[in-house]
Amino acid sequence: MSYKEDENQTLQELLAGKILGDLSVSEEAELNKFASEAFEEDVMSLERTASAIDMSYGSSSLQSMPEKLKERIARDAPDFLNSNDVRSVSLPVKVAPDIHVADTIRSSPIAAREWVAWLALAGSLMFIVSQWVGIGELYKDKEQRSKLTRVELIKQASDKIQWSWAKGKTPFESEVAGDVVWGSSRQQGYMRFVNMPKNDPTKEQYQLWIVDPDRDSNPVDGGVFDISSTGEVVIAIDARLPIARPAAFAITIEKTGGVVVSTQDRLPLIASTN
Amino acid sequence: MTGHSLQTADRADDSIAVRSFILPRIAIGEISAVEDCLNQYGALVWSIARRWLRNPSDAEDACQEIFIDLWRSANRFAPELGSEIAFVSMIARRRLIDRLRQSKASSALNPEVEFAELEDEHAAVGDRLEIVDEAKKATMCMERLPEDQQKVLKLSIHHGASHATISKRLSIPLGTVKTSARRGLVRIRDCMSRNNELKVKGNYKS
Repeated sequence: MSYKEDENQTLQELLAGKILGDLSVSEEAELNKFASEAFEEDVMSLERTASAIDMSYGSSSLQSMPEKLKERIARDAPDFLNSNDVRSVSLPVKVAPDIHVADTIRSSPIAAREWVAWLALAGSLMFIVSQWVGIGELYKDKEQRSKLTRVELIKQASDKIQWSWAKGKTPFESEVAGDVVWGSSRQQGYMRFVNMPKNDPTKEQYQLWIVDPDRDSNPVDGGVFDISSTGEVVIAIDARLPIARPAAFAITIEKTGGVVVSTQDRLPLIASTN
Repeated sequence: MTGHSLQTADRADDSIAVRSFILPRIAIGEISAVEDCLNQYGALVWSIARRWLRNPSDAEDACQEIFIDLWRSANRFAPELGSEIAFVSMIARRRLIDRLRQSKASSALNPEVEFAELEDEHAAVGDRLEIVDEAKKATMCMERLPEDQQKVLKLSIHHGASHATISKRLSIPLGTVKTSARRGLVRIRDCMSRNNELKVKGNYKS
């Protein structure tokens, strides 16, 4: 640290007082004299220490949170999440209408309205957040998190599958690497692409389809997504219906917003057991 | 009131460490992670809030604030710096301190119960060896402090008691309580940090 020893001790004690919530007004003023960026790390370490001490006492018995409170918090949560990751959104499930589909998995008008409302909300949140941190930072951060959770899924999920992308019936001109990881018990998965061609979201988008014979013989729509970088990109899969035993994942290129029925005219990538 | 053990109390002590992270999923907007988060940490947050706030309705409001803060700050969780549960606990404490500061409300500290708890805690210190690595290290470091300082820290950190309240409960001068709490926290932080370094060098027994 760059402070003199005695000055540093005073600072550390003031910071401890801040973490303990007992600073007087004059001490608060004294603390403010120090450059805040110089002790940000100290504040965090003292906060973590206080949490550790708290946990060391408070773990033997806990009280359940009242269910009503839990429901209220869960109900309000979407309003406060940083945003829906536009890279991981999934539309209400759609399947090709020319193939028999159980009514229970058809998208409904209500779901569509919710989707529009959700998009509007996400858009508003995105705008607010972007004013704060910058849109580039936000995407970068989300991608980092997706990468982190993907690695964690690979490490921890005993039932995970991990298949490499292979050429579909209309492959890209240049080779695309990457894989898809899915854990059925967690209902969580990620697509990783390297050297995937960028798309122009105003004209067309990529769309994921998940083939799950245990659910239905028809592919489940895994949502649309965009690629804005040809480097490594990790995108979360947000399947709205449980996927029991996926047999294949396919990427098609569709008009903006995706399609209900894919003609599969442009199917550049597929990942499966074979 | 349903009392139950924290999800890991009766399991291997590293069980939280191997559990999947929830906050990164919150950070990327996965709605399904909200329920997981509430199931995983709801009891923890609620218990902290109830310890700190006398009024259940205040505790409910505080819990809502804490989780809103958690949704917004989930992207700041860094696994390399500590466990997820420690991060949740940190956010909870931060919000409660702000809340108490703003409202100048008193904590839920009850003197009779508190003294009984302190005695129990001292008699059964081994029971505190649980949950996560951070808590283990904190326990070990706490044991190196004088008993009075341990009590001060417990009342201040675990119960959110003001220093004036602690001074009254323990019959210790206010200035001593203040210094003792602050220096104690810094010492525990430094002790835990040293243990981390020793662990890296392979000389640390957990």
